[in-house]
Amino acid sequence: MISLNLHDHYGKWLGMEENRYSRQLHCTTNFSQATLSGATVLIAGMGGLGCNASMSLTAAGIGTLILCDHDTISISNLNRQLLYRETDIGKKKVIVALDQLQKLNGDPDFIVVDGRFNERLLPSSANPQLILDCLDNLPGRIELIAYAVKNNIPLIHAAVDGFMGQLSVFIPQESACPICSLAGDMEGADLPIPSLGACVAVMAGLQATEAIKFFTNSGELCINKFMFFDGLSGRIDTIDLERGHNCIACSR
Amino acid sequence: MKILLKINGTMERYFPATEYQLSLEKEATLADLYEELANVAGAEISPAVWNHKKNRPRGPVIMRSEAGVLKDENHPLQEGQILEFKRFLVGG
Repeated sequence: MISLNLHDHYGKWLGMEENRYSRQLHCTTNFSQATLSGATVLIAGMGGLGCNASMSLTAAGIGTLILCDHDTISISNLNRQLLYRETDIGKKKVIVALDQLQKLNGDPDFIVVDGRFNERLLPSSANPQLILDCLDNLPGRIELIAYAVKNNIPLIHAAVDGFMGQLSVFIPQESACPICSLAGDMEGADLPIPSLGACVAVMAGLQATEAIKFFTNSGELCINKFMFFDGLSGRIDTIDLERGHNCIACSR
Repeated sequence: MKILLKINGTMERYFPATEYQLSLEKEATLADLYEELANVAGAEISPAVWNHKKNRPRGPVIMRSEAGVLKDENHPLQEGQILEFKRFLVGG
């Protein structure tokens, strides 16, 4: 019987030394762990999307994560917000998330913002290079896009509803924002939203993937496009977006 | 002209059918389509996603055509066009 140590075999072949990040270093020819380690990401909303995306980015070794949320943990969060436990009910999400993410990886720095996203809440030391829109309401998302435009910070939008998800990458001054595509009233987006943990994890995974592509200059970002994930049919579909000249979010 | 309107994604749960074959006047616009949809589907569309006074979608929606997203209500439609009507998701 021949025994083969796969890590020795492939690791030596790829010229890798085993460490925390060795399995991701050769994802693309551009992939640079040093670039990820120097990156700062603001995660607005530490619900389902924020929990999953922050776990992926922490594990990937993003240098600094700014975690922003105003809420406390409730029992109904636990089907999809995987950083939290039953014993955490009633505690602040950002405090518990910080503790769990530090246990996941001691390398990143974390900045915690305990409140609804507002530019004035960000400490002067917080200079995000990228924003992940993980919020759960339309007015908050519109405000966040306006902040991204004002400060010229790219933003990765994702949202979920049941088995469905959507994603788009917004580069201020260059591309359409997610809100540019909308028709209908902006009010009336307050329906109770079913939320399935597995589908939330898919969309947060796509969001984190776009973030890592952004920093490592890998592949093609979902810019000027809207990606739809339909978990019921197992389809991912994209549509082209055009900038809206009177967009209530990015034209302000 | 004939337009096929498909009700997609999360919108399906608020409509009695998943697609409508709508008959519109020549040079009809998106606004005309909304009016005809109200005629055809009427009160069966849930008020959660349809403003029955205005005959317009309630809440943010995406109206997709083969040529891209339609936003302007004055946008002229074309014979045989297939449109997809989706709700813009906001959950996180």
